[in-house]
Amino acid sequence: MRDNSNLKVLHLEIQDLLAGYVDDSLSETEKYIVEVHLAGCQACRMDVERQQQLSRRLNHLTHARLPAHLQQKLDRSPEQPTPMSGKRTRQDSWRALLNGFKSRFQIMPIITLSGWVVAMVLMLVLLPPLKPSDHQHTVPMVAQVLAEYQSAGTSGQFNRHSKVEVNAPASWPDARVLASWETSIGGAPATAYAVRSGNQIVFQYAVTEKVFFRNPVVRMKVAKEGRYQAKEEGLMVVALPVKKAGLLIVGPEKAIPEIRSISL
Amino acid sequence: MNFFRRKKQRQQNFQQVTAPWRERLYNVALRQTRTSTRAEDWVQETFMRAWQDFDDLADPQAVYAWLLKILDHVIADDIRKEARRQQIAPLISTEEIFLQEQHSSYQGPFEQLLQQQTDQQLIKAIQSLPEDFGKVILLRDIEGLSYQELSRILDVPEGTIMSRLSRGRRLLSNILNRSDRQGSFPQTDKRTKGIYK
Ligand SMILES: [Zn+2]
Repeated sequence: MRDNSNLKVLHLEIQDLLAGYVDDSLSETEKYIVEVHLAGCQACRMDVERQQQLSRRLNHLTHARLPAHLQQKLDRSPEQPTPMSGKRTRQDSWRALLNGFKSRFQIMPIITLSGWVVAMVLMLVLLPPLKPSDHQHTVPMVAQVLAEYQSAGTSGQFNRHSKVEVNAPASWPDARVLASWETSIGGAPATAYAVRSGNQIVFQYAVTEKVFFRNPVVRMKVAKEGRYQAKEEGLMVVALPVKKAGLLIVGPEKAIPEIRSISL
Repeated sequence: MNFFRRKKQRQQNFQQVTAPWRERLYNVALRQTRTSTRAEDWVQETFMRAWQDFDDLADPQAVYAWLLKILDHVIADDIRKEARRQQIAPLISTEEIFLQEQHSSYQGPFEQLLQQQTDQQLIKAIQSLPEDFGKVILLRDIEGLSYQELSRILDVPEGTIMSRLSRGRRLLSNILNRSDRQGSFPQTDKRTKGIYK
């Protein structure tokens, strides 16, 4: 590296590895080479820092909801040619509103009808009358489960069918699974469980690892303390890492069990 | 099982496997166009093709990457058609532009600049990047996919993903810095013409 032009070539080559360095996707050897170079190259050090900041910021973009009319089209038999967009009728728009509400759940339940009835009745009876507020929690997946939990008791938009025995990912002494269904959290498939905890209802969501660790604040908290938790309007969300996935427990603060009494 | 029952079963499987990904796919499409109706058309077309090729889906675990790959082809086809219609000159290879190094001259607090940008502004800046760079940033930084998944979706080696991502992020930083000083994105850039509508 005495030679200036050699250094320059190295610098150009290293530049192409910096994303891998930021994303921790380099081999040990590559990583070593990059780190040695970084020690002596301020431009590359700054580049790394900016890439990290950029990546973090982009991770936080808000997601658009799937338009209800599109949802409807996709629900139809996939073979049927659907009219292309652009010519939308007025009727579509009110139907869109209606479906927007329903489609928030995309529910394909896999557990008992009676379980659901119990869950819904308990939700109505036990929950304080909540106004479905627009959750603006900074962690999108947390905002979503809070909103789902709150509207579950009032919407009753659940279809039910076959009967399956199900264990929820987390259990604690007075917990009993009432129902389970497939849903979507953070844009990825998730499984939800309604669990009776004492005389309250708690929801559990098994979400993908990717969704779970998407938010840097959650990542950091989980790395440091083994879990992330948030409280809002008397409700509490606890986020716990489980094998190859993440678990979100949401419910009234008092109904959320002590961490040490939870078995995963 | 008779033919109709089998067909019905296949449809149910298809819906069950693909439906949870609709919204995310729609968001990916939306970030590559300025008009939401176009994004909707892309998504519809994607699910139509996905249905036709449903039997090719070997690993149901990889369904999202599979759908993204189809979407990518749908978008490429659509843009090619549009370009032919509008007689737009072929794009200059992105590699040519970046033979020289591209370093940001900006020395200020980049983090602060980023926080000031709205989501809309950031998306617009990404859309103004050459296509290859915009795509890797979209799939990696926004969608959180791995290099391996990107490599499968875009059909290029992981090393290429890494270099595009390095260059793309650098370029994006420059664009954001420039826009911060000038108040708008470079709109006359011939590289980006016709890529994103
Ligand atoms: Zn360097």
